[in-house]
Amino acid sequence: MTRKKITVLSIYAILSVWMITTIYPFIWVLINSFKDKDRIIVDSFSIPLQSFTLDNYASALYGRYQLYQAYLNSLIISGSVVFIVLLISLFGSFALAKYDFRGKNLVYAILIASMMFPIFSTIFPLFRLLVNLNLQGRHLGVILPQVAGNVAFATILLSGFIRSLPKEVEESAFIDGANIFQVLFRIIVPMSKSSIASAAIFVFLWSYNDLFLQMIILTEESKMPISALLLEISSREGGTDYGLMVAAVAIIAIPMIIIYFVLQKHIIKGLTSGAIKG
Amino acid sequence: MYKSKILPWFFLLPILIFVTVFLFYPFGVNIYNSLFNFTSILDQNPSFSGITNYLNLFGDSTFVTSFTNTLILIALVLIFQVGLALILALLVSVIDRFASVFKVTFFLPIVISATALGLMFNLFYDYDFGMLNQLMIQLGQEKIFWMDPVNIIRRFMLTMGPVLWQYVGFYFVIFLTALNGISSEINDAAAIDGATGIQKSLFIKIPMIQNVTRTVFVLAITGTLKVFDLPHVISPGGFPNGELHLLGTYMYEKAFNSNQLGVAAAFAVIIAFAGVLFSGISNLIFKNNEEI
Repeated sequence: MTRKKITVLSIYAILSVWMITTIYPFIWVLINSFKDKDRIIVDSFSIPLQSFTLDNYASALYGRYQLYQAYLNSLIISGSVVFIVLLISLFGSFALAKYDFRGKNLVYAILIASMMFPIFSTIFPLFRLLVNLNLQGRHLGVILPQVAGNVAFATILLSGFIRSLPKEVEESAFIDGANIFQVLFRIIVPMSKSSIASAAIFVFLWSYNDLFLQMIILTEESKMPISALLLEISSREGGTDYGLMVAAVAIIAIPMIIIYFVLQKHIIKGLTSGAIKG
Repeated sequence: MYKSKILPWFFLLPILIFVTVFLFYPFGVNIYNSLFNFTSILDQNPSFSGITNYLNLFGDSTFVTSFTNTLILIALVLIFQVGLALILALLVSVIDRFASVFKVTFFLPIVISATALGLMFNLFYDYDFGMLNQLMIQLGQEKIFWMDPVNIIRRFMLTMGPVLWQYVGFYFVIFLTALNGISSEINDAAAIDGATGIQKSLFIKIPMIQNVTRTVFVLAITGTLKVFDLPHVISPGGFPNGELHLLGTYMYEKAFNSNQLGVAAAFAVIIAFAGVLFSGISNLIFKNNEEI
């Protein structure tokens, strides 16, 4: 019995060590973001009880750089991507889940293939295409490719779920004279809320966290999303202002951490069912 | 009810347009471009150069370095990231309490942008005031120049360490879901036969989730080929002299800093090809195992 207890305790010990590595870095960032920048560089481990300050956030948000604007840009880009992806993937997944038609397997193959492209393998022709369409440097120039990159995942996730829904409700709705669109938006959509939520959060996360595409397409500071602008700031300030840097990291990470803890069930489920994308 | 043969195509049309215009078309053009010599990224009249771009790359020592580094990173990912994820999942699958706490916290780094993580690790590694050196001082030790460009192996590990650390939780969740799917009868039967926890893991659980392991390997390999953000933030430009480049970061430099679009296009083709090739190899290894 005691031997078993030791085993169990050591299992918890190992798991706790890894847990500390995954959460302590964020706690460190958070406590230091409320410290005076001269305190961070000598004493970064203590909790700022006496010297609590919001200066770092103030200088990050109201300083020389338009972080507000960057936040807004991120929200415009990722919000639009989520909206368009959900809209078109709802119709597509409905078609795949409910209809039998020739070429359905081909469509599946196309969708799976489109989850495989590394962005590296399309970026140069994409850049030229966006220049030709006069979209380079504009939000739409990031939104459209991001929709293309995420739509296959959302469609496959949603079609799997819609297929598993019981048929009886729709059947009676059809008998009562409802049309396809009424069935889709009044019956299927409300029943698929949890899957739609998974897809939405997941697409938002990818879009918000993407650096490569946004960095290449949006080079003007007023158009940049939050992660690209913060990288820009850090390379210009050369890491001299610790307070600003810590607040900057906190500013990118906090919205995601909040969203994550509120909706973690949907996120973990969505990410694993979208495992193919990697 | 759902008889129409045309309506489903109509519903699928927007999706097909998006992936064709923004994925398949540029992918095809990229292969075509890799056979031409460009003088700038928007060069209108590139000249045909056959496979010269590919030959150039294979003769470029930094390309060879970036390729080797990526292979090393794949090996590290498979051993440490996937290995640790499997061990953690096996451990969590046998505990009774707090399993969901571990699940939520292990997964956390994945939702944070790699840019933020990179900036965070830069703050940890900083020589003058970084977190690690503050810790060294508190422990009564000398400060260490963590990112010393001369000590290339340490710098490589410190740049790639965060990449490994970030995604452990992802594979952990996939493994854990698979382990929880193993029927309890099998576990109970093994316990009655006197199997210890480690024996159960080695001879029952790990073989039973082999299909999931195969998927994880493919994901880990293709995912590693896409790594860009973290190394780009921690060691920009493959600092100091390109020794730390990965395929993604070096390709970016080739295209945007030296304007060799044709070479970069060939580079992109090689990355996509490597993904297919490595996934194929990994599938083949697992397939052979299945027959044993």
